[in-house]
Amino acid sequence: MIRVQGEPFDPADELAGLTQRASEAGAIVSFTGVVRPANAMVKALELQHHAVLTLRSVEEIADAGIQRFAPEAIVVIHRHGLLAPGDPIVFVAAAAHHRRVAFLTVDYIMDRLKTEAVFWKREHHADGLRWIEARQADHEDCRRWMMPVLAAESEASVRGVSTHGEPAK
Amino acid sequence: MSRSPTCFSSEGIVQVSFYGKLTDRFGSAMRHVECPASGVTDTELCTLLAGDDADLIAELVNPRVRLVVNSQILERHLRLHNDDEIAFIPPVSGG
Repeated sequence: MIRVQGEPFDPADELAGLTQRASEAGAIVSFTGVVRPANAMVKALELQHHAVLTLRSVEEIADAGIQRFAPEAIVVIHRHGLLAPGDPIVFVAAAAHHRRVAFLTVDYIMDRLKTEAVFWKREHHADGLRWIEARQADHEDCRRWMMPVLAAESEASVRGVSTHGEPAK
Repeated sequence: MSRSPTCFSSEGIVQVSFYGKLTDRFGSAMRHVECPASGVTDTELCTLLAGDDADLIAELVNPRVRLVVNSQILERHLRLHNDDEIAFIPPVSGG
């Protein structure tokens, strides 16, 4: 399930929904990104989006995660519009038979969303507006999925995933 | 934020959407310009939009700024026709 929406969402509700749908899964991993509240100067975060390209970009990233790691089910939800510090902005969850697939799927989708999702973000400061770009660290996080060693490790982990340590549910 | 479709109308009025920093440069998310009913090239459109502002033209033709036609990111050097939906998008911020 992929959604790009202006309305707020409740991460707990979304996780509960996935848990219900993925009744055969042995592992469910979720990530919730919230508007960082640490900087008191930032009053709000605005995410501008394109009515078609934004959803398409999120769907393509999610599909790539599904193709690469083959989880049982995923949820990707991304907000747009004006958000306040502490508001959930993104939610990514994956259900799989085993934890490695679930962890990798969420990690991969988040890394690509952080740099490739079609949004333009600007912070609303007390003294004006400031457009922001993806951080260098975000680009480096994304690039690691293209590095042969990590890719090999990831794919091997998925293909050869063991069953120990995770009792059947 | 959503916006209405952008297009060449039959009267030759062009509506173009801007995103990100370009919104600030144009002072709005959308601009209307007059153009020949037969359409224009993307380069001509940049000139119509920016007038004699060389800096603004440079921003629009910057290869990092992509041209979106009918929700498809296309390479430059093409002709834009009536009813095409047009947008200029700068590099994305990511999610």
